[in-house]
Amino acid sequence: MTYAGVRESFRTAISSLRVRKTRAFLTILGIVIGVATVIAIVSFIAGLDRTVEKEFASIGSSVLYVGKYPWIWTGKWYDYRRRPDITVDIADRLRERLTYAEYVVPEISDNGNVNYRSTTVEDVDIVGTSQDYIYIESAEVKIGRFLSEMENVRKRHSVVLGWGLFEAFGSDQKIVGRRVYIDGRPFKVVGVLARRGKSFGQERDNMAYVPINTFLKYARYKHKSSVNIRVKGRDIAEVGLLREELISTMRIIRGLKGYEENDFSINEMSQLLDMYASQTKNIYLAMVLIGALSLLVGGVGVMNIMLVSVTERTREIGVRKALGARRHDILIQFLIEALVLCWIGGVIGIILGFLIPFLVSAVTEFPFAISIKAVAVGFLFTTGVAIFFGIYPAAKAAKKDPIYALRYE
Amino acid sequence: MLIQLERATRIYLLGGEKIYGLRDVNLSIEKGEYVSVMGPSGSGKSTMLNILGFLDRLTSGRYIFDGEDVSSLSEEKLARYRNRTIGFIFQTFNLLPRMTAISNVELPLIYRGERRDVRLKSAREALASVGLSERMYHRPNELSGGERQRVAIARAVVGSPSLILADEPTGNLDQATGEEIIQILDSLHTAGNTIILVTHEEFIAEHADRIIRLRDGRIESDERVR
Repeated sequence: MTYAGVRESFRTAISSLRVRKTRAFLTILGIVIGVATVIAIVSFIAGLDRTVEKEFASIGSSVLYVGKYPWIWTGKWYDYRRRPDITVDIADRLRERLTYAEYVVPEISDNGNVNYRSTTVEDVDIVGTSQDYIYIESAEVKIGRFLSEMENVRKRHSVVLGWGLFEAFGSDQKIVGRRVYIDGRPFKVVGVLARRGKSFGQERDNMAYVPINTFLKYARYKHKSSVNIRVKGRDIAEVGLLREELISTMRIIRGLKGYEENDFSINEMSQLLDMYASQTKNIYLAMVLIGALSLLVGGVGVMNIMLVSVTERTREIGVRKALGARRHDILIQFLIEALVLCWIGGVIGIILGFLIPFLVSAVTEFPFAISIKAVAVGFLFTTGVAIFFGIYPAAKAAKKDPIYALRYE
Repeated sequence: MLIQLERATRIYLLGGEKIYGLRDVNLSIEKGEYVSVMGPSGSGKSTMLNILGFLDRLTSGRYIFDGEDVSSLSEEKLARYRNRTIGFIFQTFNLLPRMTAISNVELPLIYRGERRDVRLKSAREALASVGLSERMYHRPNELSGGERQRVAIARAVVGSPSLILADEPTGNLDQATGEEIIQILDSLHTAGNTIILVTHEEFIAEHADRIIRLRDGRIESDERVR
């Protein structure tokens, strides 16, 4: 097959498809849907990946979390439950001993109602924590100050309001110094944090921060009184060392013997990141499978139209053979026709596949990113489908006996 | 000697029954001859044309073309011979309907692997030689029957074949148009081409130098008329 022949085949393919526009369009619908699905999913996930990476980056990967429970459970819940609680005391001892840690911040939270004058906001996230929370979270104080060490030691009834609460209470600057009621108990407002926005879809402004020791004094359930400790490393490069130091220090604090297992968990964002990656991989695979399935259906359609086309053009095949076309000339001609058909479907599918997530992300907050990988995948898929489903009709055409084909009406 | 058939036999199997397309045919045709083949239907005209045109192979016997034994060529070789040595003219024209006249004429050269500029030049010349310079970019459905057959003739001669095979070329045309086509064939012969013309009309057959009559797959008579 010469270059000239390939070019001629493309011309023939396009003109023969033009003659049967409606039929060609219906045939490629399956291809269009398949490719659009693949592209849309890949774009969505690429967008999601980008957002997640950004958020993880904002949290910082040099933070380790000490807790009673692991984030990703590998054992039985009652084994974890049997563990001793993590206490504020442990946080204090870690702060003294850890050399690789910059901040050690205990934290615990529960929901509660906050009342100021005639306004009550329900379901507020009440966070019990210490003075360093503000640094580890890189939050900003807008009015007043954050909690102090002394307030924790003395178990003072002090509270720092999130921006959402501040707005709910009428955005009155003079609220600092005044009293609000948390579940009926009086707390003095010492400061207001600047707007923090959302992280992983979680609202971070509808919050109130109180000294953790004060919080624990009123903890409603004993089993919910285990705190979480955040440990931020001095240097992101030394996270490994920090982790080792943290584990051995925790074991010393807990007085564990060499053969005993850890009765605490060290969690970190990278674990979640790994889990996210493995979860999205599954979604990815499932969606690609759906796309592949509709491509398969499309492929059957392509095979069908190609078989019809071969039969309809038996005479043409006979003429071409009489003029000297060899088997593979005919084979390639019909294969190219299947390719052109599928590529047209592929291009429409790629455009739709980008348009849909683009429109969705324009209307909603859903993230969207164009992925070159998706285009490559879509293109490869359609080419594969064209060859796989086009080869049989093309071979059938190529094998036709010229004498029979010339006589065909 | 361009064509030589020696005891050429072609047998078809039809429902387990042997049908003779050709039976022990011996025939020689010189370069530059103009031969008519006549005979009732089923006499073996089509079989002979298919064999001579490399569309079919003999069951037994030999076909020697231009000094070479071509009795048992591979399918690939047959296609090559069709492309380079034969120009077919059919009763029903057999032009590809979606292509312009010039694209139709270009086709044999595409399968020969010629470059586009060479193809177009040859195709234009071939169309000009049959008087269709003005209608090169028309599709078959925009041409009259006579014009279509002239396009088909241009397609047959565009690759300068050794042999032109015309199968009832006037069968689908009125008498006046048929005459035109025969005149073109005559002039092709005058220009040195070898032509084999299958027809069942005596007055057309008489344009040739030689008339071969077939019956039941055998040559019944072979006479020189000029």
